[in-house]
Amino acid sequence: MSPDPTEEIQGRLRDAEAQIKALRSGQVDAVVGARGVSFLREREYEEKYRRLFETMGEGFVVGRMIYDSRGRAIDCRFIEVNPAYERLTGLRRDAALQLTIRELMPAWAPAWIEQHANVVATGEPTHWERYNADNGKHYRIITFRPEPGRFASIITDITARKQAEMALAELNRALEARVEQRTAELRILASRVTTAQEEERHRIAKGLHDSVCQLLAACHLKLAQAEACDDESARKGLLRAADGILRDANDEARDLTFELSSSALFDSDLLDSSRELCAYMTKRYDTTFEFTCPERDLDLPECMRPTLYHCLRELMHNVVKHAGVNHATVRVEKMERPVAAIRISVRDHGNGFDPEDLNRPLTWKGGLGLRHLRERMRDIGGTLSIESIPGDGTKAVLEVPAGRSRPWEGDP
Amino acid sequence: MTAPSDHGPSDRAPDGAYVFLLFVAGDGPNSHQAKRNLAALCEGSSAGRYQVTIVDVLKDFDAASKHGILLTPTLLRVGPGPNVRIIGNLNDHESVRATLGMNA
Repeated sequence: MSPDPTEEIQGRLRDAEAQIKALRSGQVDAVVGARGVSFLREREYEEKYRRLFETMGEGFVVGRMIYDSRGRAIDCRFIEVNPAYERLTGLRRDAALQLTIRELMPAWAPAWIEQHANVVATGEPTHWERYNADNGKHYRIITFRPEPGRFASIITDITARKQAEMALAELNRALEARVEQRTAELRILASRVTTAQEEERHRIAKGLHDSVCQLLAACHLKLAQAEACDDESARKGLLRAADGILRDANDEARDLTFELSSSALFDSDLLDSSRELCAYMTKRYDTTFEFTCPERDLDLPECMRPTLYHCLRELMHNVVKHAGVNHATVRVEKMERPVAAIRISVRDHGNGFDPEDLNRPLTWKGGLGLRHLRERMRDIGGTLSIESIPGDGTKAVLEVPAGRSRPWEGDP
Repeated sequence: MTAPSDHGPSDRAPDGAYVFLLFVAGDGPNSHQAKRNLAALCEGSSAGRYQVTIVDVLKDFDAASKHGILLTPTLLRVGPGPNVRIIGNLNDHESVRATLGMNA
């Protein structure tokens, strides 16, 4: 009796359902096909790795070594190359698979062959970095042995990282050089401050000795002569002379006191003390300092006054010592633009100098005074700018921020 | 029960004995598990004797073709009664016993 076709079909359907169920539940290892056995898991893995190979961002190559008759590695050849490798290196896949390394990259070949032969021989993975001068790119290469006699390499383009590293190293070098230069300058300036203080003391001592002490000695002499003098008229004359000498000594002592510290600086604001300083310098030296100021009140914090005053006095002494003129102007003004600021200008039409000298590395030979002033101005958040032409005079400008931009007041 | 064998399949069995052909592919994880499960099922059953033949399709492809095996592991009961086939690793002992007519 022939089998019932309906039952046969239903049996096949049950078998098919069972097969599908087993496949879905992952309980099947292999498929037995007409042309052989195919392992499901291997096919899955193979597909996954193929997809990874094709889409990964890193270049990936598999290759084998070529040996001579004595077993020495003389060349190597790629067996597989992924699209990222083509993109990273610019080498076409077909060329990479047809040619050997010596033909593809003659410059790199010796190092390549040595590195890869070592990996294939020992099985020890290795990594190194290479720079390709032809395309200006840096690569990181990791090589391992996937199976005997073969190597595989993962190539990463690290050009951006290398460039960032080099830029950083260059920046560090520049900063270190700048710090070194700045440290040397500060050392010289610190020493110069000490020297300047000593010079100031010496100048005051010399002033006392040359003027006040001499005048007092002369006065003492006149008084001794008056005491020994019998003639009343002559004695009165000697006493008047002694009195005149005492007045001179008094004036000298007052001048020296002014040099040490202007009382106006503490009794009034910078405007009055600057005006008084101009009058004193004009009287004291052969240079007329013409003072102008359109402002009535500078509204300058007390903590900034001493620095500005001493910087102004130093600039005026520079005119006396170096400009070789008998006239200069001092102008004090408030600036509203581009930012609120107090500006003090000292202008002469004397000898002048090359301002570039101030930007050259600091030495012991000169230019210390203005650099010192610049440091002091920086300490209070201000600036010193110099415009000068040899033979055409100098304009020195002290400037400090005013209003809300004052750094010592902090952020609101 | 006779010891499982991975030699060539034999469809002839002693009278009343269960004759099983277990088709595996090498030592894949599901094949390995199916062999263990079948041994446990046979040892834990009180019903008669069992003849189990392990057929590795990698070594005996023709046997797989002859019995129409498409997937491994597949257990084929060739007797007693009509052929019964179970595909998978035989982890569900209860269901396997019920399908094969084996008593616990």
